[in-house]
Amino acid sequence: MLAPPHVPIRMYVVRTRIEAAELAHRVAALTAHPERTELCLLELILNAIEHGSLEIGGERKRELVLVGKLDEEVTRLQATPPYDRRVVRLETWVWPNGARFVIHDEGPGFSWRARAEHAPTPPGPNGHGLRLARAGSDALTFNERGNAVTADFRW
Amino acid sequence: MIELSVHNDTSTIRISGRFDFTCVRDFQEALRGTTREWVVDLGETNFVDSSALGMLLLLRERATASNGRVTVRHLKGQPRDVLMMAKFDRLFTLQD
Repeated sequence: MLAPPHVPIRMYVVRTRIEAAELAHRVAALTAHPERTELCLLELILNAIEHGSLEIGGERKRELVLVGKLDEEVTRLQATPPYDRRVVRLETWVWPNGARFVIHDEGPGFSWRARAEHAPTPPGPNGHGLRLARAGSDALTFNERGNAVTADFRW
Repeated sequence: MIELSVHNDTSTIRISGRFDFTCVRDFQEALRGTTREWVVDLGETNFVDSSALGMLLLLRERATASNGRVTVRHLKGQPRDVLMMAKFDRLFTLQD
């Protein structure tokens, strides 16, 4: 789904998870379905920060969550080169009957093909974000490298 | 905000406002209880994210290991939509 050519692009940059939550809330308020858009944007931006920019793998995240150390590790990495210079960029287009959001991170990318679209519910404390983002958007597509994702919404 | 109350063999966790990634540490603190029955009251919760789903599954795992049970109560709005989308009605006792 291509945005109409007259729709202006807006661009945002975030580094922290709190900034991600604030931005997802603010941008979603511009759409016809703020609740589902906010959740989708939040999940995709958090994934971009944690798994993309900071390169925290799924299994590593699970271990950190289980020992209550995820916040500490995110803070530590965000003060450590090369992660300290990485940002996540959000580009948005919103028009009367739809929206497109593109989220880019500066990490090495991930093998999105390995994450099946209809994978069963993961049993543990993490791994649910992408599933919620898929369910909440009308289409979700990754670039080849796996460091940019496009979420489309229609209403 | 997360509040824990314990009565007889039931722990009740009440979450007001957002139940999201910022709540993980506090929620895990609440899981240190040793009761078999758990109630998660989302009546005052207006937003849940994937971290909330993960915390609920972690609680379920711990409760199941001690032959306990988790009931999620007062679901409405966005939290209800998200839990139903994730098919949590198959994993938890959900009460209005």
